[in-house]
Amino acid sequence: MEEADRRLVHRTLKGDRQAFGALVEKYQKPVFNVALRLSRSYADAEDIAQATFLKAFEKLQTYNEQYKFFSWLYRIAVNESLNFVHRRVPHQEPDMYVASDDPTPLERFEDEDLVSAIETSLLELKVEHRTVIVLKHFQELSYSEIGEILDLPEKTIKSRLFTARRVLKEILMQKGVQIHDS
Amino acid sequence: MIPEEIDELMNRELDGENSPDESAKLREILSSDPDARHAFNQLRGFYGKLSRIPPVDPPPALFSSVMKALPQAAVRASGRGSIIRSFFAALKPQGALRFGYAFAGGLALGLFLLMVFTQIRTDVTMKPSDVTGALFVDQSALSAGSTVRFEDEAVSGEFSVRYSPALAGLDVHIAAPGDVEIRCAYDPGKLTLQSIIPLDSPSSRIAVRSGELLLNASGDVTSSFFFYSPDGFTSPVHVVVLRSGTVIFQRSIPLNPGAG
Repeated sequence: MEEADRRLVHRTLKGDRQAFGALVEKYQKPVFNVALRLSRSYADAEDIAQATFLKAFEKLQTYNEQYKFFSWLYRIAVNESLNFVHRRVPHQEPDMYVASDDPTPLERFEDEDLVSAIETSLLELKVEHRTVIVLKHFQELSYSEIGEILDLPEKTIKSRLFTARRVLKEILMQKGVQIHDS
Repeated sequence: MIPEEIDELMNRELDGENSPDESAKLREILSSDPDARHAFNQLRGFYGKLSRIPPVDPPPALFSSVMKALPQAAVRASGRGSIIRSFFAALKPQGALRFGYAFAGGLALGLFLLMVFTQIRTDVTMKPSDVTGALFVDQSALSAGSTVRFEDEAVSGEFSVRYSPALAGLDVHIAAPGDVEIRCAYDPGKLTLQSIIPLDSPSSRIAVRSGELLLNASGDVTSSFFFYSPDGFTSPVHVVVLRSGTVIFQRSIPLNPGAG
């Protein structure tokens, strides 16, 4: 997979626009979801994702092949998202609950309160805590991959993640969400 | 209070970062320590809650908007033109091959025309359930059904049902000074979304997915969704209205006239 990405990068650098299109197609969903979970705005996430890919295209020559392409791309996505979050006008309301295809809409209809509670609680976390939660739990990345993306040692990622989880759990429990093994 | 070392083992286990030895050590602890077991179950439950947030599909237009916005200057066409030219040069018919090319061209044209006419005939005879995309709806054939209204301090609106034996329409009218999201969830195994009468508000938008319509409304909005069901409308549409992330209205709306 990494080799396939590198080949697409090479082809893009040689002027093959379709090769970059293949990278966009492959990574648009995870990039969009990182942006969405960090900004919690569907419309803003679209803008952030677009800015991420444009920046990646412009800076592609600086991509260091010793790293995974998706780590490099995620790093841009996270930075773009955080820039956006920091620029956001205080008290500006983000978008509402954002739905998805999986599980089915009817099942999610029943999960409405839980999803809403988690999304709201995520916003109450410090940005650095929210970022590691998003990358770990919504993108399912390993400690080392998150470390690569955030340019931090694995040890720091681990402790930041543990703290983030503890705080998020407390916020959820304050909101009345029952935390137990289901 | 769970010792930090065990807490870390638990977190790492659920993160899939423990070595086999560490996993075995944790299992041993959990089998002998009820407090640790309780804490681990709680942590696992927390993981389960987070996993209930599914990934979201990006907007369908994202790909094309990225590709359109790519800087033209970065596209280097050098060399590609010559490859294309050499490809066509290799195809250029010579001598007796010209007759073969003409025959093949004629055959291809004939097949193309056959496909076009076949397609046209298929369209004429297709079943309503095969129709995708926009459909002209003869609204005069629909009878008025039930109407449900909602109102909070900032938003008001109503959902009205119109129906015929196999087609039902859900009319949505929203009056909102700000942004509102309306989610209509339905069972795609029982209802087929046939048509949407477009929004009359340029600042609003609709996203359609399997079993779900998302309407992001801004200001006053009117739209209609039409569903097809050859076996009658036994399955309702679930609507949720959210403002600023808060559910202000939710209801299951039956599409069959008898249930109104």
